[in-house]
Amino acid sequence: MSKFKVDDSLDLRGVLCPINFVKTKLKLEEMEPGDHLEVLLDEGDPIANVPRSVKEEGHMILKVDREGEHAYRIIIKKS
Amino acid sequence: MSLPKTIDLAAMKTGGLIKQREKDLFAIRLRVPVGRMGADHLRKIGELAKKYGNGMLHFTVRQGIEIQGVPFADIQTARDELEAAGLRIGACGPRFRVVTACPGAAVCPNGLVDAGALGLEADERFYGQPEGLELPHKFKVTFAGCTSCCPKPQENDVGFHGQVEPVLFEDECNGCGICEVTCKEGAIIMGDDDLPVRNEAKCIYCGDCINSCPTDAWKVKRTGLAAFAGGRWGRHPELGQKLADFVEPEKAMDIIAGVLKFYKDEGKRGERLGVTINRVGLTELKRRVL
Repeated sequence: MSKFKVDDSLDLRGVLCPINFVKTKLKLEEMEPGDHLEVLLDEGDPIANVPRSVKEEGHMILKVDREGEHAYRIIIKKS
Repeated sequence: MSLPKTIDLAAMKTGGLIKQREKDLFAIRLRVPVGRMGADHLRKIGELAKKYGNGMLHFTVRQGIEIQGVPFADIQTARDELEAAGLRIGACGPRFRVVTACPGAAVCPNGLVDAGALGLEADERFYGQPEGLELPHKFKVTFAGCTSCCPKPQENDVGFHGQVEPVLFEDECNGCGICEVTCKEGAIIMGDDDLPVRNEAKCIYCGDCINSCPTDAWKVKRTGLAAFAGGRWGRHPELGQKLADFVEPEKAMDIIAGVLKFYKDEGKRGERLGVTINRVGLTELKRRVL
C-alpha cells in the first residue's frame, strides 16, 4: 500500500479518455490545495494521458502503483 | 477544342492542371505547403470553385486542395485570379512536390520539433523544379514533429521526425514510477532504490518519460531529427531507410539537398529514389550526404 494519505478517491477504470481526465479535473477543483486524490486508471492510454494532463494543470503526481493486472493507482497532490 | 489566346503554355508545364474524365474539364491543384492555410484563402478558394468550377473541392493526400470541374477555356482566368489572391498552383509530374507536415511543436502537445516551420522552409527552397534539378521522378518530403510519425516520414522519399534524448537528474526524482508505466517501449524500469533506469537499446527517443515526469527530473539532453530516405507508396510500397539520428534541425535542408543531388546523379528516368538506393546502396548515399 501507498505511504501517502488519501483525502478522496476516484475509480476511473473502464472510463475512456478524455472523460477520465475531465472527471479527475472536476474532482480536484472541489478539493483544497495540498489535498491528496487517489485515482484508479486503466493501463494503456489512460495511465499515459491522465497523469500527464494533470501535471500540465500544475498538480503533482506523488506515486504510481499497480492495481491488479490491468490498472494503476496514482496519488495526486492538488497544487 | 480551341486554345484561348491568353493561355500561358509555359505555366501549364509546371503542373497543377489535371485533366478530368469529362471532356474539356480540368482540376486545378493548389499548392498548400504543410497543409496550413488562412481562413480568408479558404473562403476565396470556395468562391472561385463556384465561379469557375462545379463547386466541388478535393482534399488531396498531400494536404492540398483541388478545384474540380474547371473548363479548359477558363483555366487561365481562374489561375490569374487565384494568384492575384496570393494562392499558388501545385505541382505534378517528376518534380519536388509540396512538402507536408503535421502541426508540430508549435501546436501539438506531443511535438518535439517545429515540423510546420521546417516544412515551410523546405518547400520554399526546393519546391517544383529548381534550375539544374531535373529529377527522374516525383520527390516527396515530409516533417513529423515526434516519433508518432503522423505524416508518415518513412513513406516519403525523404522524411524526418522529431526525437529527444532524455537524461535523469536523480536528485529531482520523487520515485513515483510514472515513467516506467508510461514508457510504451518497456525501456524504463524502476530500480530497488526507487530510481528509474533507462535501457538505451530499447529507447526510441519519444520523450514520453520527460512529458510525464511530475517533478521534471527527466530532462532534455538533446533534440533533433531522425532522417529517412527512399520511402514510397504506390504499386510497390517500400519504407524509407534510416539515414541518421539526431540531425540538427538547421541541417535538415542540407540533407534534402544532398539526397536530391544523389538522386539527380544516380537515378534512372522514371525510378523513385528508393529504387536508386537499392541499386547504388544506402552506404554510398550516406557517404555522399552525411
